[in-house]
Formats: sequence, structure tokens, C-alpha cells
Amino acid sequence: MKLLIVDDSKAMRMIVRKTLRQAGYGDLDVQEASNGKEALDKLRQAGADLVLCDWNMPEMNGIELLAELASGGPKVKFGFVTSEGTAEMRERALREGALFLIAKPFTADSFREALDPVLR
Amino acid sequence: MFDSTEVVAVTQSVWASLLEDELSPSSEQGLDPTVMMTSCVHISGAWEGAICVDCSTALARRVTGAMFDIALDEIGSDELVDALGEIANMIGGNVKSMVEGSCLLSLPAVTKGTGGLSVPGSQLLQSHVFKCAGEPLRIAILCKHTNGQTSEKEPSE
Repeated sequence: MKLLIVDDSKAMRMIVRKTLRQAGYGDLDVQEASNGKEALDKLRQAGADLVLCDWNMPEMNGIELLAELASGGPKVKFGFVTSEGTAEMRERALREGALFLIAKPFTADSFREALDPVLR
Repeated sequence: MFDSTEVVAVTQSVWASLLEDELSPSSEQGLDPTVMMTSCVHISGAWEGAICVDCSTALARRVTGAMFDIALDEIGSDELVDALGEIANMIGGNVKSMVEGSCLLSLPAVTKGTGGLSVPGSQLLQSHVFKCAGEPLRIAILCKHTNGQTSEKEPSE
């Protein structure tokens, strides 16, 4: 199973990788992208089963990437991992097609809670 | 204005997710401006202002090493900027969540050894100093002036 982590912070991408292992997802094939545009290119080239995406990024942000995917881009399950977890943003994320929003800071438990229904 | 207790709790929660060493509130105010780093995010919309994180370079290196899972001597400028920017993003994003109404969060900016960041047209709403392993960290919330006044669109208590 292939997963794409999209975040402009390399440190955060590493923390997400570590948290995935702690949550029991150490066997996933994990790739990374540093913004929405790079993610879109990687998804078009190689695809993925799930995208874990930051919201606020340069070039193309997370909600713009989600809109691109919804309007004819590669079909992939999508969830946000972001510091912005207001009810308004959660509603917008779900309305645009995201399956979940994990707020930073997060734990392995919050990853399991969001990812188990999607991946298991 | 922002609930101070909530701001402190958010800061400690973010910190605890990154580093095992505890971040404790401190009564000290002074940070040596020659050996510190600052990261900052701006909030615009229903409330206008900025969230700044100042910390000693030693503490910045410590938390960067933990975030990247690398030794202190492997840390370069890119890693420091990345890590400090992400910390401001996480704390700023959570502070933004305390605002009632729609807002946008900027990408972070990071600077080193300049005595902190000046944000023209803003005034200090609150600041909190912490210590971690003897090293200082300060969170400051700055509110933007609107026509000579602080923003009338204040966040809820």
C-alpha cells in the first residue's frame, strides 16, 4: 500500500513517518512531496492509495491540491495533517472530499483513529 | 483577548510532541539577542496579528535534533530554519483556532540573532517565557493596529 506525505517542512514529514511506524503502519510504502504541485506530479506518475497532506504550503496548498484531485486528477484517498483544526476548516476539508483532518500536534493514537477506518 | 492559560497549554503541548524535555513557565524575561532565533507566523482576517517564537540557539538546535532525529553536529542552517518555522506554524495554527471568525495563517518566517522580530504596526498582547533544560523560549502574540487602534475585530475570550 502506497502513502504520500505532503508537507513543506522536512522535519514534519519525518515526524509523520515516525508516527506512522508508532501507529503500526511501518510496512507502508511511504513517499514524500514538499508542496501540492510536487504531490500532484508524483501522484500522476506513480499514484498512491492515501495522501496525508498539510494545509498551508507554498506553490500549491493542501486544499488546492484536493480541488485538483477532485476535478479530474488521480483518484486517491485524502486526509489532512495540519496545525489548523478549527471546526470551519474541518467542515471545509470534508466538504471538499477529505476523509479526515488530524490536528498538529498529534499522537500515534490520533493517527490510528483516523487511518484505521481508511486503511484496514 | 486570548486566554493565557490556553496559550501556555498549547505551547507546552506542541513542545511535548517534539521533545521529551519539559517546557516549564519561567519568570525570567531576558533572552540574549546575540544567541537566539525567532520564527513568526501572521494571522489575517477576523483577527490580525502575529505569533512569534523566540528561543536560544542552543534550544533551537536541541529541538531541531529531536525533530530530525539527528545528532547536534549534523544540524545545518536549513534544518534549524525548517524546524523553527514548523514550531511557529504549529503554535500559530493552534492560536488561530482560538479566534472566532475566518482567518488565514501565513507561511512562517525565521531569523537568527537579531534581537527578535519587529512587526511594524503591531503591539504586544501577551508574552510567555519558558525554560527547557535551562534554555529560554518565549511566545509573543502581537496584535495589528487598525488606523492607529488595535484591531476592533478581537478574538473571543
